[in-house]
Amino acid sequence: MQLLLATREDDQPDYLDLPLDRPLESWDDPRLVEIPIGVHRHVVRFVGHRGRLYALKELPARLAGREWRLLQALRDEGLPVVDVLGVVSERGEGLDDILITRHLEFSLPFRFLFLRSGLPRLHDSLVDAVAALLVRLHLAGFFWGDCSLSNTLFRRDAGALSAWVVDTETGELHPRLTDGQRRHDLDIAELNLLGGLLDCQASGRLPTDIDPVVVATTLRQRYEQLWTELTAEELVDFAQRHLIDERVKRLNRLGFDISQITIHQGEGGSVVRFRPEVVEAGHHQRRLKDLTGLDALENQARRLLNDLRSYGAWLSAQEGRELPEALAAYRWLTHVFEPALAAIPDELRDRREAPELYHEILEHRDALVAARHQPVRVPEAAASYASVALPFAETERSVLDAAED
Amino acid sequence: MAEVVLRGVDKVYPNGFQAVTDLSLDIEDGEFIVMVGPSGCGKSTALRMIAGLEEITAGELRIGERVVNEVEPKDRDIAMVFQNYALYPHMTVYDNIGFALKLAGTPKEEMDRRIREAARILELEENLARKPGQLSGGQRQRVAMGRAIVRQPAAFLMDEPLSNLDAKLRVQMRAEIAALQRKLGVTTFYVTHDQVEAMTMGDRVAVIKDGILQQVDNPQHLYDHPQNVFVAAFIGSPSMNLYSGRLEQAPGGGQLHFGSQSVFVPDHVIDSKPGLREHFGREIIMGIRPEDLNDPELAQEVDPAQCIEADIELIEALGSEILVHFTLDATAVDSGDPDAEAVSTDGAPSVGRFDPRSRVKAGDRVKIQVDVDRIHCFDPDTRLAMDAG
Repeated sequence: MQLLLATREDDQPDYLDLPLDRPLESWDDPRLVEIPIGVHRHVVRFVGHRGRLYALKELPARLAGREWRLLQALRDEGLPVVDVLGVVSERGEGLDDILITRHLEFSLPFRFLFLRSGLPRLHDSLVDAVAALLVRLHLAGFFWGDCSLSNTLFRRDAGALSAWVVDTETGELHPRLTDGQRRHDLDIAELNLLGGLLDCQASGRLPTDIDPVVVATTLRQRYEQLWTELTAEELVDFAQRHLIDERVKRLNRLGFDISQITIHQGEGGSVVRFRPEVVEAGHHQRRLKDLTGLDALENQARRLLNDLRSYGAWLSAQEGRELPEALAAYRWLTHVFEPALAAIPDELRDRREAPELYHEILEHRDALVAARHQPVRVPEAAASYASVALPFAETERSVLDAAED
Repeated sequence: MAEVVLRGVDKVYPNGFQAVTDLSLDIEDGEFIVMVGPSGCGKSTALRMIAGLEEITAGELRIGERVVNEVEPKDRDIAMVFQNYALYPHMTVYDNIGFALKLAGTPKEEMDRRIREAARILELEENLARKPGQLSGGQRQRVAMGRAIVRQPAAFLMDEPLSNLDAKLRVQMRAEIAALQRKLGVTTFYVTHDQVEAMTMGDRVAVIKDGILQQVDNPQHLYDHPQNVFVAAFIGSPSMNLYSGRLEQAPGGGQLHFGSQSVFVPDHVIDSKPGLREHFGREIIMGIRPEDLNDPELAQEVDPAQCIEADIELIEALGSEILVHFTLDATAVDSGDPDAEAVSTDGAPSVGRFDPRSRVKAGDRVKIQVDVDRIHCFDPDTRLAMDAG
């Protein structure tokens, strides 16, 4: 038996005391968390350990090794994939390998979202998240081959969703993808999205206002729009070359940074042709991290940065001088963000991850302002949110696909 | 339905790596052709060029009457089968087969007709109202196939479709896919690294290595008449035994020496292999299939001049046959298969496939009869077969 670990973290289970020499399906161990996951290609079971969940998937050695390498490569590229922790091999005659991944905290399976997401225009968020994920993967040269709702987990991201890859069995990493590969991957994603939604409909859990065919075909539009915005070459009149800056700002707003812009001036100098090259998404995430040390998803980071900048502007007005952004960030973190979260009782902290909690406090504050027609400060909004809203939200630290039964 | 024709197709990646070189292949209308080769040989690249997932650097690809080099994948009228075969647990078999047609806007009556036709072909008519959880493993796979069938493509492309399945289901599905393809008569291009899969499924098998097509033939002819050393070693399990040897002229034929062993090859064998007579006094590569090595104790007639002697190292009793492992002190030959075990420098590991009545045991020193009528000879310079085919 061989156990190959990516890292040796203190909080991981001691896998070696699991019955690794027996088929995963036959295990009977108190640490196993029984989750119905429907028809699946391979046996998948979950182990609970210190409040965290670990997914164990049994699959042939060649596939396990491949998925191990792919997940690591994608993680190294900064792409949103589950953490791969280890592979157990050489388990004995006739036994496949076991791939171990950490279940993504605060992630939500798609069926849960349809049951109780609380998100307005959920289907838009869902499609946008899948389209953005696919675009990011394609920019990195990753052909997924099986993009589906079942192979994706979603995390709340400031009122929207952010999508994560959980299964790369059919994936391939290339230096770059051809248009044919991208379109084929999109065909598969569109078909799988339709299948997933129809299945949800067949189980009676899809809201009646959602038309699976319309949602599935929207994926292609959203993908093409985003891909074009990120990669297309543009022609502008020389006099309108400020449009280059506007394109860059739009890309930043979408969360992408620019590594370089290639600009060609046409004959006679009247026309400029340019193509931006984007790097991996996370423009706002990186900025927030630099300023405050906080880890957040992209939309969360954008929302927190906006709040931080509003606070900085207010602070500058109070002090009668322009404060450096780093100083404003420090004050915002210690005087606004941390006290707001401190107002949340410990027993409710598991309901949302910290940046999402803060986002929801801000949403709650906006609702209070709209109701009272007067300003509401963040500490008051936090206290109100902790007493009237959060107690009714479900714990989302470890939501699995329990809806699929 | 349509024929698929590749003419002088090259694939060169931007980094200069040439994955496929001058590939010409005619896949006839309704034919099931399997492309097989070791990892990195260019077989998946070939399939992806047909599918439109990889651009063709040079050459021409035709599907039916159309040259499709520049045609979008979805407009090529092909179906990639089994790239993803997850079934939806809450949907009936009927819906699992037909839901993709909704995306194409297929009218309801037409959808119904196609789904029922696919179910009839797949013998799933009785199960249309069931859910996947109520089906056997094989039935589930057939539902997945149904999803491709209802699209009624001109050709199926299958890239290692069975690689995710367990061994038992894989064997079952080989037979099911082959039978289904014959029933449907849809042109099919199937890619695998597994030569057993290739030999048991395809009307013809195309062997490829380093991006260059080695041989295309029906399975039996490919097995009996490999055109070069690579094909000889790659096709067949266990592999053909290959030795470097020397052919000397002898009365009534030739004497073939390999290591300390020697067998007599009569004139009629030498004359059946074009060019072999010119190799008298020269090196050759000789090949012997495991089943052409026999236990002389069971033979009615034994010619001592056609026997070799070896120490048996291992016996694998498989019931219907015995695999006999031994090492000869001859020089082993590298077949060029990157997935094969490294060539031993300490003799040539060999395998014989004996009748199960044989009583040879590990540790015995025994005589082994070589069926010299069935030996294969290759030119060591060109590595091509000296075979009339």
